[in-house]
Amino acid sequence: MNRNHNMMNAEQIFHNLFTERYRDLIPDFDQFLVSLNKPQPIGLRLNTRFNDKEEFIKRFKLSSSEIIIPISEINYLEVPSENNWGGALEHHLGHYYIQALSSLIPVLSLNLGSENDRVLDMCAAPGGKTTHLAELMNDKGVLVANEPSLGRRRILKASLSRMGVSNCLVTMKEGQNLDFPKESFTHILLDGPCSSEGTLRAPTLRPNKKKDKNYLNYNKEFRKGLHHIQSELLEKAYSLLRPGGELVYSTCTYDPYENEKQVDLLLKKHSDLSLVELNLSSPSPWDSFLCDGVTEYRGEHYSSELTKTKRVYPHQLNSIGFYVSKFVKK
Amino acid sequence: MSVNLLKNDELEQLKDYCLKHYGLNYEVWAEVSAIKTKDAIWLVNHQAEAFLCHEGVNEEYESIGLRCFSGVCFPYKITDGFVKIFDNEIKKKKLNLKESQARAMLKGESIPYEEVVGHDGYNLLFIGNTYLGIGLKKGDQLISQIPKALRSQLAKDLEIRNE
Ligand SMILES: C[S@@+](CC[C@H](N)C(=O)[O-])C[C@H]1O[C@@H](n2cnc3c(N)ncnc32)[C@H](O)[C@@H]1O
Repeated sequence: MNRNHNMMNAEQIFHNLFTERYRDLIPDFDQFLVSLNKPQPIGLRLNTRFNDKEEFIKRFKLSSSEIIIPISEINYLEVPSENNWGGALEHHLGHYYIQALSSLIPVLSLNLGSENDRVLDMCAAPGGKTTHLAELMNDKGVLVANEPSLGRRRILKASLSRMGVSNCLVTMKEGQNLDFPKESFTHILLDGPCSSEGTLRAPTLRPNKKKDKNYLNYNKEFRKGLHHIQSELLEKAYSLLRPGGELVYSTCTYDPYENEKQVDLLLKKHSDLSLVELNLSSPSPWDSFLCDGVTEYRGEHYSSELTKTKRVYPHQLNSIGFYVSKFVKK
Repeated sequence: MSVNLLKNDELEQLKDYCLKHYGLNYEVWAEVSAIKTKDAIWLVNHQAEAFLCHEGVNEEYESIGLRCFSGVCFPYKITDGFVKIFDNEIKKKKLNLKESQARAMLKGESIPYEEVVGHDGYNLLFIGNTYLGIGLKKGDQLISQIPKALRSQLAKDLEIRNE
């Protein structure tokens, strides 16, 4: 009774927080709240080095009803959540990576595939996007994966070795302190630390999860600290990017102060940077699942260019919430 | 970690070893550079090696491409990285295990070596087309080299699939 009561309470606080912050920002807000009460689907990004999609479907005896996902041409499957996908032999062998569908977008937004690519993944662990980058690079060129946290770096290295990535160098710094010469990279992915609101579903779906508790405790100071790190990381990314290069900045949060505002500030500082559309594929099957970035929040106004950045909401694409922006440097 | 390219004679020795033991042709080495650290040999593509030695010299690295051998000299101990990078080019020392043998390996149990046809040293273990991990032939035993942390989990997976 007491536990149920606490849970109700947590749920109420959780909903109130979202409502207070985002009622006027997120379209179809009530639908959005409803979507937070549904479990997040489990998805696998298949490693094309080791298997093809049809074969995989046969091997795991997946029925077509289980593998319906909106974007059919990517090597991605939604799978039954009862299976222990993390404990399967094929997982250990690197045949797939368990990953949310929306977290593919930042990597798919980069134009990769030349031997001359010099790619930096500035905040890399646990490695979902790093291993995806490596795959799109066909293990050619150079991929630097940076991660300052020792514990998370262990997981990153395990992911790289599991997935058989052979073009990656792992560094260990706070991204803003990386020591590469200016303009070392043709492509930079900055999938940085954020308040992770997009990964949250209702507390009743995730009882005992520390994250939800943390979320309820996220205070102004914590967020301010994040904004500071985010802007330092963006500034460093700018200086490490070659002219003609591409920078993707992404977060898994809805907070415009961590998203559009950061992008807007960087744009204002550097006239040789411009925002471009994500250009996922043309015509993009993703379009109907993405919302434009906002140009106004709580009385602040951002450049109209910000509509080129994209937001993912769980009631539009059943996955985690995301924000993705793409810059090019002149 | 301190990073050195394998010297020419060291590389030649490694290539000879891999040809003799794993049937790996010399040509497959054309695509990779071999880098030596204190306790391992890593293989990485030439672009990454060039980057490491020129543009990236001021940084410290914790891993470089795939860790393919643990230890830096004879007798070389291959790792999963070796199998991943050379994959189908490996022609020798591939053991096809029976269900029960695979399960034993996954549980970390040794199996008497006469039960499988193979060779001294580190062997690649398969069940059907699926690569499981590495097994070491020592004396008359085949000893599982599959990391402890994975064994029970993977053994369970194999059991569930065969229910
Ligand atoms: C959202 S996660 C990255 C997820 C990763 N890109 C993936 O797809 O698997 C953010 C990461 O940034 C790391 N991080 C935190 N502060 C950092 C900093 N100052 N520089 C670089 N990385 C940082 C965190 O440890 C965390 O692993």
